Amino acid sequence: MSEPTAISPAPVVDQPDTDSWVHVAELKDLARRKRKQVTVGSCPVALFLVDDEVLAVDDTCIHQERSLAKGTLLNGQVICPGHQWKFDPRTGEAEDQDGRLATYAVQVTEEGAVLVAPQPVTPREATTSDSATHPAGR
Amino acid sequence: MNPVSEQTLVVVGAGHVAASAARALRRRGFAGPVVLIGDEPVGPYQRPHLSKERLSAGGDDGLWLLTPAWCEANDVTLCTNSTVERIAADTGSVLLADGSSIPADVVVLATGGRPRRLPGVEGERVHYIRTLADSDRLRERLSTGRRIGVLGGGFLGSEIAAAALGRGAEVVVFDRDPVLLARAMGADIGAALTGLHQRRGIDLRLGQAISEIRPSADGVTVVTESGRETVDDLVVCIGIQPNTEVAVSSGLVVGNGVEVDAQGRTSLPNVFAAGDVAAHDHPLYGRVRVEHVDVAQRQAAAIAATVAGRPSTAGDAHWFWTDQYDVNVQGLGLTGLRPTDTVVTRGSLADLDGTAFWLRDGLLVGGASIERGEDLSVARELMDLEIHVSAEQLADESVELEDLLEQEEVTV
Repeated sequence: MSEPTAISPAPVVDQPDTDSWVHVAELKDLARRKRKQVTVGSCPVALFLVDDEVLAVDDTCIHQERSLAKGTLLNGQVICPGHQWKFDPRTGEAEDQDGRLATYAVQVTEEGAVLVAPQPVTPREATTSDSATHPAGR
Repeated sequence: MNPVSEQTLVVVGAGHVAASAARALRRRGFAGPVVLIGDEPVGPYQRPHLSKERLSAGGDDGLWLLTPAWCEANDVTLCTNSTVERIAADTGSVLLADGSSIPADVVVLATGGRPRRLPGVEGERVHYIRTLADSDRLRERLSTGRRIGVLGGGFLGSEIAAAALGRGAEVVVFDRDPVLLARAMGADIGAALTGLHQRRGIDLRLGQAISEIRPSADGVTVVTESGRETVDDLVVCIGIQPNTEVAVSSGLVVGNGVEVDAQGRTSLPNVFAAGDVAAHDHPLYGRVRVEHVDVAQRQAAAIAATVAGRPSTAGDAHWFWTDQYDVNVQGLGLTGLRPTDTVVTRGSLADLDGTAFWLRDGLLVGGASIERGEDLSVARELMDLEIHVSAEQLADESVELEDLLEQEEVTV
């Protein structure tokens, strides 16, 4: 199990330029399924509702480009439908794999609008040949 | 200091088990030297690629499981082109065919398997696929205008057929069974995948016994009850047999594979076995030898944890996947299915968008999905937590599977 790093996406850290936040969804959209695919700029982003907090990571899995919003949220972990890779949506880290998903800052307004900052807080890192398990990339 | 830290661990066989064990040992703080001994000229690689990415496109993107830099930094020694004769438990060493020996306090036997061969079916135009070299040799033959025969419509055969078609070859698949993959995945998924291959243009010769195979300089002729077919090359994919020679020479108990307990221990206390060669005493399924990479990796990880001081068993429900063309197929817990289990379908398997679930006494015991891996993520949780579910709930797509997890309080 990999250790979490010190970097984690803290919502509303240093208040980026408020004009740049993108209004992508309403909080009530996440109430039932607790996950939703949205687009920020041209980038597919997956929103997950974990313990009443909205978390945003790349929607596209680092492994074989499946949609994580189509996957499963279990015990705070996101499981990719493609090959069952598991991710921590707070850090973007994959369990027992190297590589990570980009994470994005999220704000929820008093009216329940979900806003996502277009620039990732932590960047996406491809999985590499060091990965111990399933095939990496096609 | 940890008393096990000065031990040397040797893995016999440099495949998935070796790579997973080496990584898990270091993650768990095992401090002694780790030596991986393999008979291929290369280090551990992704064997699933051999019938998928590597066969389709060549290249080594994502192929290697360990890099030389990682091995160096982690005191992991890789010996390639090395054949092991036997484990000498009395002297604590592994003896190689070239007469040399390597000291070993703990041994993990992971010699894998080799393709089952048909007597007399050999030669330039016949292929058996197990190693990187086998896959590379076949890829050279897969090109536009060539007619490729695949004998055996299991996982390997069907993936190779898809890759061959993708490279422009004409493909004929022969199998005694009337439906592809039905034995492994059930009749409905088998039928759906058979339809997929048919629509993509594979020439399927199913449900016919093969009476003769004649390789010649110009092609390979396959004779069935309904006639004869000549192909340029024939790929024989009729399963593997476990490589048990080292185990037998070492005096280990061997049946259908090297017999190991739930932790992966053989009949010798400091010798473990994992992967295709191991007949594992699984907590859910009893003794079984399976040939899936995820199982091999989980067995290796459990052995590594045990050796590093935290006794562990590989007791998870077996899981595997196959990618056929752009269609993702997964199975969970299928090892333990019984004919009396109730099958429930969610979605539409025929439309390549559905899941088959197997129920026993109100509990989920297995699942197989086409393009719905998310159903199996939840299925694993339902199985692990032993949550009662009904056939109606599983079949009803207006019921979110995740909601079924919350219908019973879990007692810890």
